[in-house]
Amino acid sequence: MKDVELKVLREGTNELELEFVGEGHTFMNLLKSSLLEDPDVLVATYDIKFMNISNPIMYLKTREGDRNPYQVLGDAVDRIITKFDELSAKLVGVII
Amino acid sequence: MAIEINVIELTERYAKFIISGLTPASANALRRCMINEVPRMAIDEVNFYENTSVLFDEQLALRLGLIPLRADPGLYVLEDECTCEDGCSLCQSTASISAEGPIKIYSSDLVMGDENISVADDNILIVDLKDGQKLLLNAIIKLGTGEMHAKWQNAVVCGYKNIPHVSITDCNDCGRCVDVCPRDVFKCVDGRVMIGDDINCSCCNLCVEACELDGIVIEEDPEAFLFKLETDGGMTASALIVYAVRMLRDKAVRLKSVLERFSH
Amino acid sequence: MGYYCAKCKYLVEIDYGSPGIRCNYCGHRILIKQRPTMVKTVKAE
Repeated sequence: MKDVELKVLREGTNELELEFVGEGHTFMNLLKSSLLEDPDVLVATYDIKFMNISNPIMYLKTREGDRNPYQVLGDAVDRIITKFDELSAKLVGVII
Repeated sequence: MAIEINVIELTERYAKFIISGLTPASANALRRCMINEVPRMAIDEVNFYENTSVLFDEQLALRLGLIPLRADPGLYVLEDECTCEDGCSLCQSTASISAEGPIKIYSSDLVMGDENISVADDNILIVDLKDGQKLLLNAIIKLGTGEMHAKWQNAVVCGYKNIPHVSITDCNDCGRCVDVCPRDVFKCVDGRVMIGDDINCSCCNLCVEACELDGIVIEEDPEAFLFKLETDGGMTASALIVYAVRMLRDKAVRLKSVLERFSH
Repeated sequence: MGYYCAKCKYLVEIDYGSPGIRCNYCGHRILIKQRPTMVKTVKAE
């Protein structure tokens, strides 16, 4: 499996702009909605400028605090991992 | 909210199940992943040595490409991600046809170069060769995803809806809702109107408009989804669900490891 | 590689010096180019 490739476009103490190379709506929308569950997140959005040819660019702005935007993003990814771990555990015995 | 799965129907190629406790984004990611991102094998290139059949090479190649092949996608690697220069046993396989008419060539006549790949349906007619017509070709099978071409799409049908809940608050047993409902959600038992299977409800609101007393309420559960999924036999429906969930989880894990490198 | 007549399937040698083409055997004016013997690779899409 290919590694996820990230390009940092803008980096601040409480904001971040990232380009996700090769990703599409499937994963970006999931990540965005997971980020918005966090009360420290002020803005989380992404845009694919031209479909099929552009990479999605995510903009993230967080409340000032002890967590930097990378940690906030990391926690959002953790929430996705635990959710899908739970889902695959529930699939065993019911679907398989 | 804890996740719960209820299987309503599960056959080799068809699955109908309810997942509750999922965010709309997760349900949509799962749907999109099953359609677009789970890889599979399909014929991608055809080398024609001889073709005197009535079909052009291009038409035959398209017909061959669209034949569903049954294989475990975990055994192969996408062409772009393979370390080889121009094709190895990891990223491609072969199939061939050699025939002379009069004969009808079906998908079962494809001779596979790899024992792990087989055709999902044996009775797909490829071409009808008349007397003296010859066909000799060698096809190259590659791994791909649904976003590249529809022949690599695993889920032929995949969709979901929120679980509807229909309730009657006020009723004079006029029976208008029974007549108007296209999904037969309501039923009339001994002159009394009752709710049957409200899971079939499409939320068209015809019953709400028909009711004189405004006594019907339709609600949707925002965190419970009724999935319907059908495959063409390339993968079993259950294997596809499991593969899609694992793919999404693995992508999140890989992103996590990349993020850890960045934040230091 | 040559051409064959669409009517009588006779393999025609074309005389590039004379104006117009025509089957030497039956005189039909429609000729079909033969399929080359090389391998033809087609993308299945």
